[in-house]
Amino acid sequence: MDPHDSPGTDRPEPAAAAAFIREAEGAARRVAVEGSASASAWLTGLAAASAMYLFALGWYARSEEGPILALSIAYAVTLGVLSVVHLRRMRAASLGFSRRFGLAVGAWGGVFAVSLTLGLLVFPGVPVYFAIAAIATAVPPLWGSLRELVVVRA
Amino acid sequence: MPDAAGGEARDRAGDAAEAAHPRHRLDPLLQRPVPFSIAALLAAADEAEFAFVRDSVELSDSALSKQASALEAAGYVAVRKGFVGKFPRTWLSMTPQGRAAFAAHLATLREIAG
Repeated sequence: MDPHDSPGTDRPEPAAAAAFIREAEGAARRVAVEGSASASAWLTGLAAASAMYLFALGWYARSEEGPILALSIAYAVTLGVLSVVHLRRMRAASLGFSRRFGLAVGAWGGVFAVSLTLGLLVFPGVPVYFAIAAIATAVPPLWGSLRELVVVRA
Repeated sequence: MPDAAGGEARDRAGDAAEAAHPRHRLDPLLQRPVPFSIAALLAAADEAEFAFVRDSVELSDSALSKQASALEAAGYVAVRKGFVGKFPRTWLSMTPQGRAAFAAHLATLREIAG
């Protein structure tokens, strides 16, 4: 008989039942740490990179294409590295992660797109606008990151 | 024969108590330790990579495949195959039926544990 097929105890005693419950709680913690810790780190990185990118953009007029292109490439590379380091190595997604992650990234994408469009078309080279946009863009991923940390610590 | 009648009454009462014992509500598949461990991991996850489950439950690939197939046949687990870059990956997740069965099983265990 395959040892993995061994039947469980026919009449679990309270102590055995408690051990099963502890195992289930431990498994939930393992999944939370595996899934949510990496996602939290990625979202924090996304918030920081996006905020720095937008803040830096504010110091250049629309005509300064060279520095803007260099900043954009650096930003894209940073996001790529973050994704490889944190997201591709994720081996489990904690319960409800897809919804929470989708919400945080979707909100970030919306705010980022609006901020960037307005910044480039209406407020080019206005550092105050870009500073405010940087903070606004960082809020959704930071909120998502905190949500994931709550899952890890729960 | 009052003793025999009393004995029968005691037997009936014993049978009723036996039938009412929470262990009758335990899921037979999840009573087995390894399927329980796999289900416990997957119940806490949207989905998990095969390798993560294998390492967490400390099984060989073939043993996990066999157990996952049993859980899949029971309708508790869904298996998804795909790629991460060029590398093939297998993900396991719990079906709504599996989640309901695991939640009921866990509730019964809590009842037994007191």
